[in-house]
Amino acid sequence: MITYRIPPTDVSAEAFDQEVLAINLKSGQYHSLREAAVPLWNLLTTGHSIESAATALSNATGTPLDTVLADARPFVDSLLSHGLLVAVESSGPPSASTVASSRYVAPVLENYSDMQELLLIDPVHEVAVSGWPHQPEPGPSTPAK
Amino acid sequence: MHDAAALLRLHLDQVFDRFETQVLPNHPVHELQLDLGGHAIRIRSAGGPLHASFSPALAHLVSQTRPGGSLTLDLVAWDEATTGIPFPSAPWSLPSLTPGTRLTSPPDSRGFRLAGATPADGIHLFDPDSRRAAWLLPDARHLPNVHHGLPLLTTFKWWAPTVGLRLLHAGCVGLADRAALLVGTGGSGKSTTSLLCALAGLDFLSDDICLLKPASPPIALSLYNSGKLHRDHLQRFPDLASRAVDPEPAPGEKPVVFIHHHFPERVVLHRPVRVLLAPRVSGKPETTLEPIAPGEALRALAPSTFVQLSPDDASTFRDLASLVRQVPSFRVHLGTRTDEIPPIIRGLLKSLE
Repeated sequence: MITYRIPPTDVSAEAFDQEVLAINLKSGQYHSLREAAVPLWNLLTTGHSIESAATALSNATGTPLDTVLADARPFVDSLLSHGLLVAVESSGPPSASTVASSRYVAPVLENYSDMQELLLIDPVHEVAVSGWPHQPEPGPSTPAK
Repeated sequence: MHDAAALLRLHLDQVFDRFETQVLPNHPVHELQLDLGGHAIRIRSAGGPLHASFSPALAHLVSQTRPGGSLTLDLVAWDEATTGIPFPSAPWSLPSLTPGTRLTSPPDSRGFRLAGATPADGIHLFDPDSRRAAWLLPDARHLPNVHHGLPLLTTFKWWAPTVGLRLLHAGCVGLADRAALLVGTGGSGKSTTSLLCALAGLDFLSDDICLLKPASPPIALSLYNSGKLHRDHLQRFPDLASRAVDPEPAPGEKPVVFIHHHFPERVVLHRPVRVLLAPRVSGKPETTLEPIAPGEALRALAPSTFVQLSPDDASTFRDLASLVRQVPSFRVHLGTRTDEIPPIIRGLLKSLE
C-alpha cells in the first residue's frame, strides 16, 4: 500500500484550525493548504493512503467518494511535485485520525514564492573554504586571506 | 583524516591567545559587558574606530555588573590594519568573497560556525561549545555601514539558539507591559512604523531585527537600538535625519540613527508580545486595522526571517507558528496621514488584556 510522509529535513508544516502552512526549506517555497486540503493532509500524514483518506473524508462530509477521490488524486500529485510529501510503501495500519463533519469544499493548495523572490533580490551563494585543511607553516604568521 | 572541528577550535584558541598576548598588552582594548535577557556577553575589541563603529547600537544593553552565571558569549575583535597585529594563520584558504556569498564551514565541523561576506566585512568565527567567538577585520576604517546599525548580526544569529532565543526579522514597539511585533518583508513599513511610534513616545525595541524568547507569553528582547532611515525617511523625519550617523552613506547603504543616544528613556529591553502587526502601505489617507488569521501572520513573518536569518533551521518555523497561535494578529493598512499611525497602535495595545 502506498502511503505518504513529510520529508523530515526539507519540510516543516504547521496545522491551524482552517489552514496548514508548509514550508519547503529546500525549494524556498511555502504553501497554504485550505478547505478539504486540511483534513486530507492530516490523514495522509498519519499513514492513510489516498483511498483511505478519501473514504474517511467522504463519510465525514456526506460527499460521494468518487468526487473526493477525483479531487484528492491531483492534490496529492501537487504535494508530491512540490516535495511536501514523499510516497512510501507501508503495510502497517494508519494512526487513528478523526475528521470533523463539515461541508465539503474541494482542496485548495496555494504556492508562495516570496522566499525565492527574496533570494533573487538578495542572493546567497554558498562558498566553501578552500585548501582545507591548510596546516599553518612555521615562522611569521600570515593573515587569513 | 583531519578532524575539522578540532582544527577549527585550535584556530580559535590561537586567535584568543594572540588577542591576550599581543593585542591586549599593546593596544587600547574596549570591553563591553552586555546583559541580553539575563545572558552575560563580553565583547573586547581593539583597533582604530572599531569600538566606536559598532558599540552605539548595543549601548542600551551595557551592564555595569555582569549578570549571574558564566559568560554565554565571549567575543574578541580586532583589525589588522590599525593594530598591525596579523591574525593567526588559518587552516584554510578563503575563496574570493563578494556580496551575497555565505562562507560555509568545512564538513564535520560539528557546530563550529564560520562566515564571511566580503573582505571588508571580515571573518566571523563561533564555537557553540566554548561560547567563544571572534571577528577578524582587515581594516576597521572601511567597515561597511551595516555594521554600525546591526553589528555582529551573524554572531548573534548563531548565539541566540544556544540560549533558547530566536532572531526575528521584525520591528517591535511597546507600551507599559506589552509589545507589538511588526512583521513583513522589507518595504512593508516596519521601520517607518517603528520610528513613528518611537517619536510619538511609545517604547522602542527594534525597527528591523529583534530577539524572541519562546514562552507563554512570548517575550521580545531588544538587540539593537538603531533605526535605519530609508531615503524617504530623510524628508519624513527631518528631526531624526539630522541625528543620523552617515547622513549621506554610500549607494546601497542607509543612514542610521541610534534611538538610545537621543531618546534613552524610550528604549526598553524586553516586553511580553501581545499582538502581531503586519503593516502594508495602503496609499489611502487613513490607517486601518484588520484582523488576520494566524496562517496569514505566519506568512508575513516567516519568509524574511527564514531567508535572512535562519534559512536552514526548521525548528524556527515551529517557534514562529507557536508565536502566531498565542497572540492576535492584525493587518495594518498604513495611511498617508502618518501622524495617525502611532495613536492607532497605542490604542490597540491599550485595548489588549
